[in-house]
Amino acid sequence: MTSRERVLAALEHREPDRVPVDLWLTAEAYRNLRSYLGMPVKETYPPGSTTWSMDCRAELDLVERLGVDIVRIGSRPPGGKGLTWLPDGTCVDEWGVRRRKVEFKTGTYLEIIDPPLKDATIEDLNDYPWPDPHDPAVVEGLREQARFIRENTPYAIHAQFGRGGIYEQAKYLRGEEQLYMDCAMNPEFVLALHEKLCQIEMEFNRVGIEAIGEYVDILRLSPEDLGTQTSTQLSPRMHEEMVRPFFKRSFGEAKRLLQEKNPRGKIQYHSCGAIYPLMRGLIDDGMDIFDPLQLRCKDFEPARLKADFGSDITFLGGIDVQQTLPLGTPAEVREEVRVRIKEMAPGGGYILASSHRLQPDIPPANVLAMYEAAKEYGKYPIKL
Amino acid sequence: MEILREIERAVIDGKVRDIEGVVQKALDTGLEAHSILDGALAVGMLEVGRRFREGEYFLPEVVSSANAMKKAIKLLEPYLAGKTAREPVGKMVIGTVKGDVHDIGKNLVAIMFQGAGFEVLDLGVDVKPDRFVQAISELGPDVVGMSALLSTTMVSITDTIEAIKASGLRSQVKIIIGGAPVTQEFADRVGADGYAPDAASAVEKARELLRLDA
Repeated sequence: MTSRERVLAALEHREPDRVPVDLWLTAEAYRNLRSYLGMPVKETYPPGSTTWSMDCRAELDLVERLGVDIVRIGSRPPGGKGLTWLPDGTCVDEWGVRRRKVEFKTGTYLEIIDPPLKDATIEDLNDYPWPDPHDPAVVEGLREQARFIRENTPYAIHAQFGRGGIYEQAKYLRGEEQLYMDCAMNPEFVLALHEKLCQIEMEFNRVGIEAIGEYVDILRLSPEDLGTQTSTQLSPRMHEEMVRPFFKRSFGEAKRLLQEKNPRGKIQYHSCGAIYPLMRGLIDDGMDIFDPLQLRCKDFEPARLKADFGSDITFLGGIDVQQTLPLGTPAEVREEVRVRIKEMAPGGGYILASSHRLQPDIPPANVLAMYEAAKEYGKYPIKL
Repeated sequence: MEILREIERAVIDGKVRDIEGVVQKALDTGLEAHSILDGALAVGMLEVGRRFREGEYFLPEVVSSANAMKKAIKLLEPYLAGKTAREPVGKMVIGTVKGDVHDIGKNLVAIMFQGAGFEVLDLGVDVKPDRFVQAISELGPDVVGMSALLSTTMVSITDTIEAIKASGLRSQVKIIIGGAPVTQEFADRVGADGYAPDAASAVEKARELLRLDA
């Protein structure tokens, strides 16, 4: 079975030869991992899911070395230049969101300062310089890349074209706390902003699908975090009114367009946090794959999710980046992989990966332990 | 008193735009700032905390209430200053640890403590261990609260507790930690006194550690 066949079987809820695995990580974690494996280490790597997120896409040599089954590709920022760095050391992305570097013990994150729409009115949204999904740089070289992977490698192709999302990008543009207050007190503004962002997200997806849809096995929509560690961010009622109508449109349209080009193509959606009460709605609106399965969140016990939603969707993720991978021993990582496969893998519908990007605090030995254990315990039929 | 109930409702309903008017009206009728704080704002925030903990309120509601409360306190501050009428229940120093700038949860904890009658010094975000130590030695708090959203920044909690130990001030304070990746197990391992999963339970945990009976 090739990697792609393995992934497609899992997505179609058939048991492949073994549980497929995916890789998602920050650029710092990527360099750590390559260095640990004695592979060439460069300063920069293929940019990740958004302009600012400081993740990267693993190159084929590492995918092969770890036995990963999926290659991630995606759009580029309009203009092709990524972040614009200013003399004061801050940077601006294609949305006009400014960030500064914040250093922690093992790396650096970019964190938002001064959200550009914090004082905006609905009228201001018309004049804002929105990113242009039709900028030629967005899909430049993408078709050649996708064709190369399909023709020369055994891997499934995972693509993300959206560059920020709807509710998620609204938080960045407006400021998270302000957006929450808007949801409570200024819902018309939230609806107007979401409408604008929904159109942009859908257009990025349309342009990407047009360019390479027939090669895309998994289309990941822009990530949209709906949860905290212990609950949904918005009440389910508010979510229904202010977020879900836009998701329904965006998911439905992306799926329709993708499946016109590739009838077996699937839609992947990401949310952090404890969003159990929203799962059924996401499934009804077209989600095929849910990532990243953050098992330490409230009501997010993997076995429960598998029992309640496992026949409808595929789960991608599930190996804990909050405790086990950064703080555990390789033996503890192996045990977590064993338990997760036992819970999630029967009948297919599971792709094993970390429960968020691999972070710079995760020892490479634990990453290797995760992939090795996935191969060892992941052989079907699962007998654990 | 009707006006106090009105202020209490403004906190509970998160009336960020209206609350100052109501508080000003109460001051104009001659009510003491302390009575407004204790008799209306704190009572309202307690109810907000309950609703949040029990899943009736979510972030939009609780963030709005917190901001309404903040506005009211700001208006009252000049009237509260210099008055010795009321001793705080306790003093608290709080911050998001070094390398981390996420503060929505930390801000909610701070406002819940204020609502519960604590004097709160909020050090902000990306707070270095030395800054915590300095604030402890200057203010002499009963409780120190630390927050981190990420496993990568959670290690700064460890560093900060170590710095507090090295300064000789550890025995004078109760340390409570929280944030998405933080667990009771982590709290035990790094030598914190308590852990709380959300803002409302953080106040309960502090009251328990300080043996303040309700």
